[in-house]
Amino acid sequence: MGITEIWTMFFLQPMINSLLWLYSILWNNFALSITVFTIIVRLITMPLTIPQMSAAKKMKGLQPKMNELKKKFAGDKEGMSRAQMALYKEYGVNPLGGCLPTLVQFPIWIGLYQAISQVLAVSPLQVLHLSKNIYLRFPGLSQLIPLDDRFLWLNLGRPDPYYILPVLVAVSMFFQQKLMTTPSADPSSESMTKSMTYTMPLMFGFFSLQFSSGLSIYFIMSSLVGIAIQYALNKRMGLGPDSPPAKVEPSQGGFSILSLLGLGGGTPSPQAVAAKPTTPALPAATVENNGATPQGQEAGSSQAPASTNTTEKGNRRRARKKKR
Amino acid sequence: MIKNLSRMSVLLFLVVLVLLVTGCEGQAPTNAWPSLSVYGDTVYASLGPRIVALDTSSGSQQWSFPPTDTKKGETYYAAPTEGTDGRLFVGSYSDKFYALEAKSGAEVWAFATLGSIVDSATVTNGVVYFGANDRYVYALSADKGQQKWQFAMQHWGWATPVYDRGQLYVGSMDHNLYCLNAENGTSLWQYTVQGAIASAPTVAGGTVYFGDFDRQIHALEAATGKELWQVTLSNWVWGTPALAGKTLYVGDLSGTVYALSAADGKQIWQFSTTGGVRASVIVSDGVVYAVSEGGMVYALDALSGKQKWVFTSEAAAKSGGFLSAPVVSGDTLYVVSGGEQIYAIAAASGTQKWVFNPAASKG
Repeated sequence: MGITEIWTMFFLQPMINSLLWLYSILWNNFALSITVFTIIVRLITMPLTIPQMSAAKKMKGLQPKMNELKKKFAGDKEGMSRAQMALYKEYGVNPLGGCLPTLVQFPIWIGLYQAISQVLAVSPLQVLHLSKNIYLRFPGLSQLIPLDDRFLWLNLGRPDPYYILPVLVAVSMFFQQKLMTTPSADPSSESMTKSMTYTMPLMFGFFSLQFSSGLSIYFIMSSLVGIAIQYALNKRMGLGPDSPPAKVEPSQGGFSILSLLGLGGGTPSPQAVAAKPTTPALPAATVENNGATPQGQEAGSSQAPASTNTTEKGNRRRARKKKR
Repeated sequence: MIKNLSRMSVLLFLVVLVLLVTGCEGQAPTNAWPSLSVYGDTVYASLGPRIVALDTSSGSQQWSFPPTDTKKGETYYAAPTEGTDGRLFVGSYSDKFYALEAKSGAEVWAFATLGSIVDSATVTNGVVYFGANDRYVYALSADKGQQKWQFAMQHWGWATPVYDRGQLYVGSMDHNLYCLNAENGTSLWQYTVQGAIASAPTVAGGTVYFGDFDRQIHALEAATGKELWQVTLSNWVWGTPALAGKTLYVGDLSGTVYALSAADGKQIWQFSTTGGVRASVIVSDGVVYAVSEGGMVYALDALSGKQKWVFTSEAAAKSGGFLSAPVVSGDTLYVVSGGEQIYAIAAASGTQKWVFNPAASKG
């Protein structure tokens, strides 16, 4: 079984058939089923959003320290990078924490997009393609084809003739981007984020001129749900463009697989905390000069699982020694 | 640096996502499956953006509409239909219906609809009938293209209307089979089924036979629309059933070809092909011809269902197989693949006589 078949069988087909089922229970209104389906998928993936925001919050709290480092290592990029890593490690901040959950969500977004595109089949070729992905053991699903493609002034299979949806796509996406943006210490990152805030909504707005309006509805709903989730989490976690930076305390643990995925936020297990020597954070340059790193505090985040295991082993060894 | 990298990866992903999004099926598609018809010594084929006329004996191109060096930006699914006045009628997926000179391919008139036209038209008594995605069945005068009447359905009209004794039988994607008065377009009766009807019915001996996306074959009384029988097959039925004697032949998307008793729908035999059978099967001189999405052309004995020969095309298999109905004319079977190659095959042996490759003819 190739990757395409696995993707189709385990991602695409369940999504397509769920979407069709929703259509059948939501009064055969496809716009409504896209909306509900998008909300459900976004809610399911919310646990991936929270660590993403938590990482952003921690990064924001580190800004003053980052600025200090920048002054200290002005002109020394390598030194700055090592010091940055040491700072992240010291405070249990995972620099990839904001990125990896997003990466995990991407297949879901792509699957959602593909499912909606396929279910919106308007041409005979598209319907033929869709027929391969409908579960025949639920005969009611085949009976739903073709879906009702009319909603308000729209033919859901064709672009909006009045250009209202492309404008809404751009505006909703802009507000979502704006809400998601947190200030960065790095001016290049800051400018990149800023340019993305404007270019992405414009790009998607432009593409929506060509897209079927059903897909534009998906983009709008996705942005609106994203805004709602972001707003709620910002409020709860005190994160947002105008909120004060969080107080960040030095952490006891290194990076773990979970923290790398943004799911553990770098918080170590109780065993690891017990085993870890409470040495103050060393600037990266010092770590390098010493040649060796303290137990359970590896220099590279890629060795994180080994680090945790070593710590636990050391802990058990010391416990055995004590017993003797 | 890591932060920059992570931001870069997010940006990179967004670019890839946008490319994926724009590269997928977000907008109205421009590709279509090719189809063909044969009248006299000419093969007429709809090959994506143009209609071509080929000589049946050699496969050499006679004309193209629009001419090869011009672009109309249209796409054709439907096979052209020839009228009695030397005209050819064909609808485009780009919301236009054309009358062309059969000899030259010159445009005689055009009629604009509000939706795509998927299947072929029927021409009878100087009137052209066809369905469209704007949910109407149209009746136009064949000479000038003037509208005589239109009939509103509740969803797309993908199936060719069938004329029989003053009545027009039209299957619709709204799950209804309509029987209309061909004179004025008024509804005489309609029969609702569970699945969409995407192909023309077969009308013979006072009975209407058709299949639907709910895997069923139905037989109705042509005069009243009363159901005579129905049977369930393995998968969607997209093709038109073919009737020969007392047997009905039909394929489904599972790739099975069935022979059913026309009297009660009981199965006589079944044959499994490679790939789904979307296109209608045809019967000629005791042989059933079926084409599959797997790029195979099968000749089966109509009585026993045993394979007489199979024609395989690797190029066709790679380009989506055969999706439109084959046509038998004389001793030759004509098929067109998803890659727009037209094959002329000896109906008796399954050997290839010629192949027309539009890409090569352009060069």
